[in-house]
Amino acid sequence: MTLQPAPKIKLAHVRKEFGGTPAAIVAVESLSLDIRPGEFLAIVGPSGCGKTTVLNMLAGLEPVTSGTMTMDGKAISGPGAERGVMFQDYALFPWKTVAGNIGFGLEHGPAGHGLSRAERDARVARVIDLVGLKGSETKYPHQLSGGMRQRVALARLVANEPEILLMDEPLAALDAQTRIILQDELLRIWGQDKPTSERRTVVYITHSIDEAVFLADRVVVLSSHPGRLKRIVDVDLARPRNDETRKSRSFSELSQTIWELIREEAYRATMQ
Amino acid sequence: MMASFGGALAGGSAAPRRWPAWAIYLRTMGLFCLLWYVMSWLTPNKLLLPSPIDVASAMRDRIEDGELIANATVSLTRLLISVSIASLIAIPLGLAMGTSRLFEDLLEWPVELLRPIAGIAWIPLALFMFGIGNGLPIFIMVYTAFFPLLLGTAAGVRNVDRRLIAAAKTMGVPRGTLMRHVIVPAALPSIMTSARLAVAASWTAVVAAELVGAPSGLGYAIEYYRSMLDTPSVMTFIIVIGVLGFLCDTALRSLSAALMPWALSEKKR
Repeated sequence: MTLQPAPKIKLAHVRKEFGGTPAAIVAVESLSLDIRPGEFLAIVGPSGCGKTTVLNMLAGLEPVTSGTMTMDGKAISGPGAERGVMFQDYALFPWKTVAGNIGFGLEHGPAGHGLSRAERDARVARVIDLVGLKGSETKYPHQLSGGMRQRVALARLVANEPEILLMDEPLAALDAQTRIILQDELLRIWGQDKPTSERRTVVYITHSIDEAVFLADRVVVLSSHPGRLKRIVDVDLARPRNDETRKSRSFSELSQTIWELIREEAYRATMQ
Repeated sequence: MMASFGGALAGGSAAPRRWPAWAIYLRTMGLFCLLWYVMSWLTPNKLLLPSPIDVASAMRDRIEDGELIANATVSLTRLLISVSIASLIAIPLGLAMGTSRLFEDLLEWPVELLRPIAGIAWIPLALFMFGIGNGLPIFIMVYTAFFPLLLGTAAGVRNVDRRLIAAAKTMGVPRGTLMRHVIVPAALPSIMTSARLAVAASWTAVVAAELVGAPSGLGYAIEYYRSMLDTPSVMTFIIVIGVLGFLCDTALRSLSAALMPWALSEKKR
């Protein structure tokens, strides 16, 4: 047994209801989960399992109805720069250019404290390069395709270098090739070549089981209506992961295991 | 600008346009003048409806004696001052109303009660308060411009995409910055639209206010030439009011486009 470090984020019996008391809709029920420092945690589940709600609560944008949610032992009571979010619908500022959006947190938030103008610009330029947006710096979001907007949102999150990266289907709008390239990039940004202590913590929501298995250390499988923890699957594939990983037998076995966990509910949701 | 004007004239017609925009514009104006000419020719008393030719010659006279430029300058200056004063009060109040429940509760009823009262309803009272001069028209125009600006700004702030505010908050942006760099730019399209409404309403009010309560301006000129029974000059000033109102709106639209290159092209998509 390896010694487990204290959890970075701890969810204990978290429950989330929406709406008034008589007709309340329970989105998440008795969810308990430890998120370890430096871990890449993926959350999968059929639609209606409350994935996005969990992420919004972690971000501090939605309060929990009951239960506790703590980070480094302190209750999460609101949004903070140490927990960066990449939203499903990107939430780019339409009046800012690509570079302006990516540099927004550095310019106006604590992420840029102690950095000179030149250092901030250099970081924005590096991140633009990283996500392949070179040449589009001065474009506005409405001039970009869906996939490019998604890359701007990813770049904005990465530029702020938060301790914890909360990502809601970050690669969903991309074509298959770009997606694979950015999965590799994402692992590099996260620090898969580095020891665990130097990695950032990632909570990654996806509907793609393959993506969850390829990226994550552990995959949290939720069931729907209400969202409950079904199983946590350990992904013991060797790192660094690459194309070889995608071809490996254990990769497809793990994907199959997770698919079987959610298959029934996924069918039920689709047929409804 | 010409293109969008032509587009407005063409409406939603799907048929391909054979004429260039300026030709369509000239054609419409030509038809209008012809109709006007026939009508005035049919009118027995030329004082009631002067012909376009009489009006054109009156316009030349009023340009030559400087009356047109002088009165237009006075009215436009009043418009500029009034809309500036109204903006300085209404936009900050609108921002407060849009962001704070307390301000909304405080202002909602007074605003809803005052808003249906037309600016010109205050003219008799304002005559007592300000007498004849600059005070009265400026008061009426500020009053008229105030409500569209206040309500447009408040609505713009309330309709700011919540996700943008959430995104800024997760980047740790402090409150003041949130207002300046997220809420205000996000509400700017709505603020600019309300500014156009405010200028249009204020320009309508200036004429009414100057008819009664000012010793100068386009409204005053109309009243003056009416008392002289010089109807071609009256028509001249009416036309000038229309053209200047149109030009003010055009200028504001250009300003919007310059301030918000992102919003203009968003509409084109």
